[in-house]
Amino acid sequence: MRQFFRWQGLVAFVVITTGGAALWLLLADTLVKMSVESVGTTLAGAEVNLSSADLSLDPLAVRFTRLQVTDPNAPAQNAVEIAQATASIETWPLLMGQLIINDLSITGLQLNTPRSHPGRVAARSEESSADKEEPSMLQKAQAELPPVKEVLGGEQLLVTSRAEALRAGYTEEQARVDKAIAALPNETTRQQLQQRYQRAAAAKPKNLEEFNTQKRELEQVQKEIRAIQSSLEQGRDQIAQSRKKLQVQLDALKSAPGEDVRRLSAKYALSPEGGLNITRLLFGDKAGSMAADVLYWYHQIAPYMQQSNAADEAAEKRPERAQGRYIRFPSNDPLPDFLLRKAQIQASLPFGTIEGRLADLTHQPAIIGRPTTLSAAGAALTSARGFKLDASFDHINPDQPKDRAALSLKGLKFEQLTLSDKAEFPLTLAKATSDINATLTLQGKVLKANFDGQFNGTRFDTVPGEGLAGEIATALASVDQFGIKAEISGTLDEPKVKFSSDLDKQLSAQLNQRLKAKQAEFEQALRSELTKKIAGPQQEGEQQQAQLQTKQKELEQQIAENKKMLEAKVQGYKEGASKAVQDKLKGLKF
Amino acid sequence: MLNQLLKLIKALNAETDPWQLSLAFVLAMIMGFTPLISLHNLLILLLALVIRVNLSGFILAFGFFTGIAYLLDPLFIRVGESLLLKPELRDLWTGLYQSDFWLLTHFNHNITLGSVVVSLSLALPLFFLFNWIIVNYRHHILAWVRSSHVVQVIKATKVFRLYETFSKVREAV
Repeated sequence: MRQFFRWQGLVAFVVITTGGAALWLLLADTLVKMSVESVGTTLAGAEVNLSSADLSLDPLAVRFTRLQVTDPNAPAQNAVEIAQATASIETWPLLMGQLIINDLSITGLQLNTPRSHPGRVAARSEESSADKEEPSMLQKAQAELPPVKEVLGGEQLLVTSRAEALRAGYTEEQARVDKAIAALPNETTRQQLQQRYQRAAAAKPKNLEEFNTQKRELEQVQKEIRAIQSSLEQGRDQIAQSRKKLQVQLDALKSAPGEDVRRLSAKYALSPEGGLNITRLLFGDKAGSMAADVLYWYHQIAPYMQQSNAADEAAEKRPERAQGRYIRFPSNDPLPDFLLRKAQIQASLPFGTIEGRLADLTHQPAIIGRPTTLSAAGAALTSARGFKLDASFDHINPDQPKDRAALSLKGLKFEQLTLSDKAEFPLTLAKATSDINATLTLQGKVLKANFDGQFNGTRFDTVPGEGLAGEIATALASVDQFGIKAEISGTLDEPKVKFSSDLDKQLSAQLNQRLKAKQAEFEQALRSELTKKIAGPQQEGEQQQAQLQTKQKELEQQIAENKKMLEAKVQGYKEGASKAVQDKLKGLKF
Repeated sequence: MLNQLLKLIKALNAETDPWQLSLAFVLAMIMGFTPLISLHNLLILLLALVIRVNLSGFILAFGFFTGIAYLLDPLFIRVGESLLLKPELRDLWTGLYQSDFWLLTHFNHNITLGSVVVSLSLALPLFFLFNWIIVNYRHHILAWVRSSHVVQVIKATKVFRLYETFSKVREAV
């Protein structure tokens, strides 16, 4: 027997197991602290810190002191800070791999507290983590009214294209006119011809021979004048045609500033058609930012409120290496892997202290058959008259999850609430008292929410700036009460938000008047700049037109002179011939 | 660790019964393959300490098989998952699931069940395999090494004689 057994091994076994248990107890607090920080960081996607964890065995409970969860969007502050949390845990299920917390008490919960050092933030998906600076609603609105010079610099302008077309047209027509004028006889030839004509016309034929000589000479000169007359008429017609073309282009150039102003005014409208949604402009960024935060935390927490279908479990969720998973079977007293039976939460929020109760939080709600519920009410409110929140997260049937929440806040006082910290439009709600009611339902991925807020005794603080921001700042100064309604629909990933407010009505008349004046100013500035742009080409065009007109008149005068001369001299010749015949006939006696 | 290794080599080369080494390796394999904090591992530890197995061999083999276990995790998961989800065995598991004792064994954990089943399946064949290897090692390789000139020369040196004396004194102390 001694060959096979060493009974002193029993002592060693007891020593080893007892020593192991003692060591574990000694390190338990540190192990729990490390586990909470590690698991919490994975859950939150940002660094989680725990000052201390104290484990007590009888009854099994753990107390956490100063739990800090870094805000993933602002690592210099905590999204949540809990002064103390005590959880009583069921021992037996824990030995079987099930964490059942019977009671959790959270005190001193605060939001957005400063951190001593920035927390580490896990890399987030493109959509949520991209810290790209989205243009604010105001920037979007203002982007429609850039400076005039910028507008003119970046646009295809009619004034430019038409000025260029006029210059090109003039060069082309001038070439045609020059060609036509080059075909005309020069001044010397014309004068010589005129002199010959005058000589021939002025001569007094004394006999038939002289008459015939004169007639031949006149006919020869007439022939040459007719030839000139044809060239002159062609030249005149060419000039008239060119003038007509250039006048069309000149007229188009003159009308270009007006057309450009109309087009650019429509494109860069300060007040878009249908009016400006001031509510969205003022509160859209803030609401968008809050919604993004809520969405982020919902996405982080949601997987822990629902497990995938049992049938698909094996296929969908591959167990992590070296970790494995527990497979549950029907039981008389079924328990999920994790269950928080109830939690009392005391939170210090900006408007006072509230007390809440969370019940039946688990990622396997089908096992307990009850939804997770959360209710909270004001306990010692300092800046509100009443607070009430009721919510339930029903994921019992994973195919048809249904979440709903209703929030009511009465007499909530706002002081120095920053609505926009954008440099171009800093806006603070300096003072207001509001009644807020909000409801939200989420069935599957279909989201439906309503927000109704009535704000009284409001005062906005802003720095009057330029442009639209300045206009809104001036208009807001006179607002002392308003209401906001928001309807959210669509899906959780793509919510559609529709804002409405009587603030629009209150401000729109005043603002639209100011916007129209600004629009007119913008148009005037545009017109002035555009007119300056065409001044040079227009003047050149008019001068060219004047020159062509002068030339045309000169040619017409020559044509008229020639015509007159021709007609007059022909008539003179006829008169002379007739007179000569008459004179001859006078000597005859019948 | 070096000390444990020397002890193991010594045990291999000594007159220690082969089964003491083989059983140590097999127990170490079960403990190394399965999750350490498990009820059955308390039994394995108890057996390793109470049965006269070679503890140096047990400790070294435990380290070795723990390392291999990470590579075999996918196999353990597959085996455990298939057994736990097998419709024919559902009644068995459901019955065990009602017992607190069996729940404490974490039998419904896929890696635990898979690794226990795999290591228990390998236990007997590996026990005989290790035994055969040790016997053959001693008969052939060790005999050849001992009779080799190199070893004869080393044994004849003063240093080796001093080492042998030191070892004997140490064992006596």
